[in-house]
Amino acid sequence: MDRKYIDDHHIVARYLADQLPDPEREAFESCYLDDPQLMVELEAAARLKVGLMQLRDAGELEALMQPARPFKRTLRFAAAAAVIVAAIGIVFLFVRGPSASRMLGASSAAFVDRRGDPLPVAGTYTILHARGGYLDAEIDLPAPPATTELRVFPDVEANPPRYRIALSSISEDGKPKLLGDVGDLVAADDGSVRVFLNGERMASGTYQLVVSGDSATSAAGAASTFLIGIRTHGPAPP
Amino acid sequence: MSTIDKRSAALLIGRQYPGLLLFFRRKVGDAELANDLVNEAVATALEHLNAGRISQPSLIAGYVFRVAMNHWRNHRRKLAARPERTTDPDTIESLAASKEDQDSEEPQLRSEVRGILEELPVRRDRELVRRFYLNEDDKSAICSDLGLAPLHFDKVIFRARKRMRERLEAKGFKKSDFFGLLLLAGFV
Repeated sequence: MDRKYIDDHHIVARYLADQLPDPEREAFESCYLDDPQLMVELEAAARLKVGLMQLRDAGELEALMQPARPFKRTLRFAAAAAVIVAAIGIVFLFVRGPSASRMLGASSAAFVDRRGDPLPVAGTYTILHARGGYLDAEIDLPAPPATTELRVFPDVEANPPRYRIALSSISEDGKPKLLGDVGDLVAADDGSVRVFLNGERMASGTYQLVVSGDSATSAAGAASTFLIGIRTHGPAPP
Repeated sequence: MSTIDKRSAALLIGRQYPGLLLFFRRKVGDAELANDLVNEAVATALEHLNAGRISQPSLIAGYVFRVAMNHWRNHRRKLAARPERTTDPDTIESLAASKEDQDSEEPQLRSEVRGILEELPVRRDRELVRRFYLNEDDKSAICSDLGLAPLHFDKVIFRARKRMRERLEAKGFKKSDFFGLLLLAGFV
């Protein structure tokens, strides 16, 4: 039993729950007797369990399982609305044209300012499956007007190498809501598929990127899903 | 290598692993019985140490925990307690002293776990953590009920564990600390 097996099979938590079959339990006990770092894992898991018990006993846990309280949410919405009103003015002043409502583009030229010039590319991020982490990537979007380049590596190669990328926001209950998609994307030599993000209408939060082969390719039904965290410096969307 | 007395070992373990001791108290549901379990575990681990079956004093906490888990398992399965092991009043006293430290841990622990839950942006992920760590539900059942991919489940659990470990480390918990405490106490 090695550390990867312990992590992949959630051995620490299952051990504390007394859910391991005897051979697996004995193997794990041999491991942590020789590895003080595993004792730290046990202490961390035990603290998590005890903390949850305390929150439950104090009557706080149910509240934490609920969406944000209406009053707090109203305040947040009011603040967001004020920012949006100001932002809309700025958007109309500085940015105009079809790009204003789009979030994804096949090239940076998809987003232009009021003079018709492409918005500058303020950053590039590589999107890969991050082993073990909650998010595959964390992206700091620049203040508008600017775009961000994403280089996404699909799990399945399409033949011919044309791809489609869809962007969704993740709601409080975990459901994805499609914000936009773009197809006919050609993979670069390194296998990555490039797409450009215009964050001026995006809010900070968790988003989902789904890359699949475009229609009439060998990977038309093969989707690679990535969870990304986005922090914005611009206004929240309505 | 000099030997460690029960009281000192229990104190050191209480200082270093308050979460595990609190876990026992919660699981057993009877503080006195939990103290007995840990006390017996300390006694057994010290026997192993003094008999040379534990190569380094820094590993004694692992032995204590393993023996305590076995006692707890036996208790749960209603196996008869071994009559030759009796509670040592000195050790119970030392555990009672360390209990004060553990009690002082409680508000902080609650705050840490509250913070970890609040950092999860999706309510479903909080539910996942609650069901896995508190209700001790099976991963496949949780994934099925919440409509989650196993990979997503792993990511959420990984994140919660990582945050808790970071909080432990922020408090100065390092794997060498237990050995350091033994050094400071003059046991090695």
